[in-house]
Amino acid sequence: MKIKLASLVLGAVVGVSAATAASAATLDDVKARGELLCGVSTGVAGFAAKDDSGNWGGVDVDVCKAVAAAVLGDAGKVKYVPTTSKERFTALQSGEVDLLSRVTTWTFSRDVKLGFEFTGVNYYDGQGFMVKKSLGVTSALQLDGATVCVQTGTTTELNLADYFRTNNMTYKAVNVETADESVENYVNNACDVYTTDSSALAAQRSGLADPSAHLVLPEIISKEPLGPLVRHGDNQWGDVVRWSLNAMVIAEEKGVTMANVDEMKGSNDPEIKRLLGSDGDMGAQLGLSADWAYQIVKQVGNYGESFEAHIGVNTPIGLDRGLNQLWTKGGILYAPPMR
Amino acid sequence: MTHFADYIPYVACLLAIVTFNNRAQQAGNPLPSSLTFAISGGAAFLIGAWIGNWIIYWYFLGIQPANILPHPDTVFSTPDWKWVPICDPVRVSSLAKTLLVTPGCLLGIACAMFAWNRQYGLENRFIRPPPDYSKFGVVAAGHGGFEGSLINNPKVRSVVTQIVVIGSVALLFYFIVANTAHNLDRLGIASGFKFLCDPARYDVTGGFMPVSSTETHWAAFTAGLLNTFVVAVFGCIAATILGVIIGVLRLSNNWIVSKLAAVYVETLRNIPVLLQILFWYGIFILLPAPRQSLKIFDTFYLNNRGFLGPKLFVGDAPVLSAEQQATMISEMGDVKYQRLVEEAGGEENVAAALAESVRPVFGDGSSVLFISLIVAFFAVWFYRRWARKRQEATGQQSPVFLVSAGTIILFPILCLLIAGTTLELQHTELKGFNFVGGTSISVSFVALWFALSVYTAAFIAEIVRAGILAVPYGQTEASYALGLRPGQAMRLNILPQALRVIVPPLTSQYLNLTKNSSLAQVVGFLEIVGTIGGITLNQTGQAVECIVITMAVYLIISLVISVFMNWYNKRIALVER
Repeated sequence: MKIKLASLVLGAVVGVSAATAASAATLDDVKARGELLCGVSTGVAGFAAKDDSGNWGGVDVDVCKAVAAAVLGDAGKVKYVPTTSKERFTALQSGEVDLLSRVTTWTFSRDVKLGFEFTGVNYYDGQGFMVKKSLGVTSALQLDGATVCVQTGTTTELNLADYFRTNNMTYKAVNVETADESVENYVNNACDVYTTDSSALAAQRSGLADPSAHLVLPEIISKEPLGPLVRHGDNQWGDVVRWSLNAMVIAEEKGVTMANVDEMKGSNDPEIKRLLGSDGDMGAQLGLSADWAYQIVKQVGNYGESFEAHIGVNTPIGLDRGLNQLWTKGGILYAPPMR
Repeated sequence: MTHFADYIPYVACLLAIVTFNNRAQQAGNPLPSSLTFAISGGAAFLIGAWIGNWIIYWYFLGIQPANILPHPDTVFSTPDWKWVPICDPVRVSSLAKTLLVTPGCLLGIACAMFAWNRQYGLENRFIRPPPDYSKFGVVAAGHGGFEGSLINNPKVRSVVTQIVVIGSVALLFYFIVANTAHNLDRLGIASGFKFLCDPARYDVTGGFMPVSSTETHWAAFTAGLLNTFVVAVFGCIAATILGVIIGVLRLSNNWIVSKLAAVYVETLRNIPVLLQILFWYGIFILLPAPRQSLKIFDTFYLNNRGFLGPKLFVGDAPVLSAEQQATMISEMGDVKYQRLVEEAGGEENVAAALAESVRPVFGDGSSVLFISLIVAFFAVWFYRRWARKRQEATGQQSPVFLVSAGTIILFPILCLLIAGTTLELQHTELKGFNFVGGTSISVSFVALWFALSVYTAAFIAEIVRAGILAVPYGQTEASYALGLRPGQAMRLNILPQALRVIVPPLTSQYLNLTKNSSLAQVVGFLEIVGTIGGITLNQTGQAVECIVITMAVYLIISLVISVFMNWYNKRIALVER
């Protein structure tokens, strides 16, 4: 009763915005709208960024595209909603986006307390530090007294506090909202150190005027499983997003690529047949068409293709597959079977 | 435990307030309104009782009434207000006990006020007899004597309209509340303010009160609040000073000066304040890095992290009990402890080093400073009254400014010297990446404060100019005819009259500046929107609660400014007869 009263009073203030919150059946909403509203970051090269012609691209963007391909049959029917790390959760809670695919770390409190459901991991990351080589620092343990640039509203901010406290070091933080501002502060010497997920560090280092003048320190101070998330309580929609991502991983495992997906349709492998819809009614069970996964692979590609195209070793970001390699090849990427 | 001494200061204070008001009444001064009386009387009562309590306990009985009132030495230094009632039931019960100690006194003051009220008739001032219109030849028309249909009855119409309005507002309110409650419930988001007691898990640095990640969200919130407050207060002060100067300069007879002022105003008020903040931040971070800081007398340093200077300690470091020392050492961990021992030069100096590490700016014995300052202010107030009366009676002037400034500066210093309070300067020094020790102001704050001040000053300059132009030129000529110099004419005649025009729009500018301080986000200065409305909101997901708190804070700050400015406006308003 007490809680109800409190929420009643609170509701008075922001009720209008909450009144527009989406109903539970997100899948029906998306189909009716004919467009997926996908929350992405304001720009992290390789994960979600606009190219020169204004098209969004990146591994996070590919998750949005995969879901759109599965649900609407067209990977292009996505409206990207750039959100800052601070705004993202409110955007999802209020129904402004159907899905958040935005380098967001899967944590207990976000999963349980914030009313969200993480539907998988599309990048296993960890937090690192970048410094200028001229500082002469080689380990994060030498950073006592440093000024640190950090993005506000992230797990990074919390890990930073924990790391410095457990190692008996002090620091000063410059907390800003977007990655661009952080990098600008770092470049202009407003801070000694820049900290964020090591994948983003690599991406942003590649964009600096002289990448070789900057050093990413060896310490990885946290686990950052990044993945897409949806609102808690809409299990059907959660399943669609979860299996869209799984389909990309299974496709890579089975060697189904954008190029060979049409011939693979005739494959004898029962799992490939179930995946591509030539056997079983997996699509109908999800509330989708039978060729949902075929559309994903055809239009977006499998997980490995997406990785190599946007953040792999042949891109300016140059990330190694590392933990994000398939379980069969020494990584921890492991999708449940499609049956 | 109640001691008889508890009651002495309360009763003394009560008597003092009642006597003071009686005397004021007898001297023919107008009665204060009941609200002013209640507020000023209450404040005087609390402050007087607090000081009195401490004098009795501390100096005469030698007891520290720790759970009754904060020690005067610590009230300005201990961040006691990081405490939030719902997080600390023990403290709440202690506070409740304190409040129970004084019900007799509170009852006493209520009775006294009532009696005083009866005797001098406060109500009589407010409940006036109805005006007698008959002298204007008007005969009051009775209501309700209206003939005809109800639709044409003005009384019925007015009642129905009001019911409809109230009803629709209530309905809208109900719709909003019920909808939100339903949606929060559906999303499984628990509401409530309990999260304020949880550890914040993030550090608040770079402001005026550092908060560590082990402290509560409430502590982080109060740190943000203090930062907002400091920006608002210092911004308003700087903007006013700069604005008045520019406003007066724009009216200068010197062509260059007035045109320069005009350019300042027209440029700065036409550029969005957000861009100006970013611009100044961009300029300030171009200062050299800490290791190449600009030095001023080897005492003050400027670099792209902040402006640094020495820190003045008033009073001694606290004396720590063996228990407190043990806790601090165990919290510190081995590495840090070894470093501390090394720096202190041996185990035997550890106690002193520990005490030094938690030494507040106003340490043990610093209450002398505050008490002497209060005494000095009162002395100056009485002196100024005396000087004014003397001038009115005899025409002789007194050196008011010199005496006031002298008293306020010299008297506390004298008191500190007599009491033998420790005064110590701590210099800042480069150590590793940054400077340690001393006082530092972050570049984010400086950029924000500077940008808000120069931006708002442009508006204030125009308000000041308008105010001065609103005073007829005859006033200036009259001043000159009386032999006043231009400066004196401006200060004694023109500005006081101009203030009547200046103050109301000035209030809006103060409010704007305060609200604009929320743009601190872009330079990474953690004020209230950055802490409770930003990181806390994001980490706890309690968006509704955090936004409500943030809005309430801005509302309260704005209302306080408005009330203060309205009071000031009333004070300086032309008294018309």
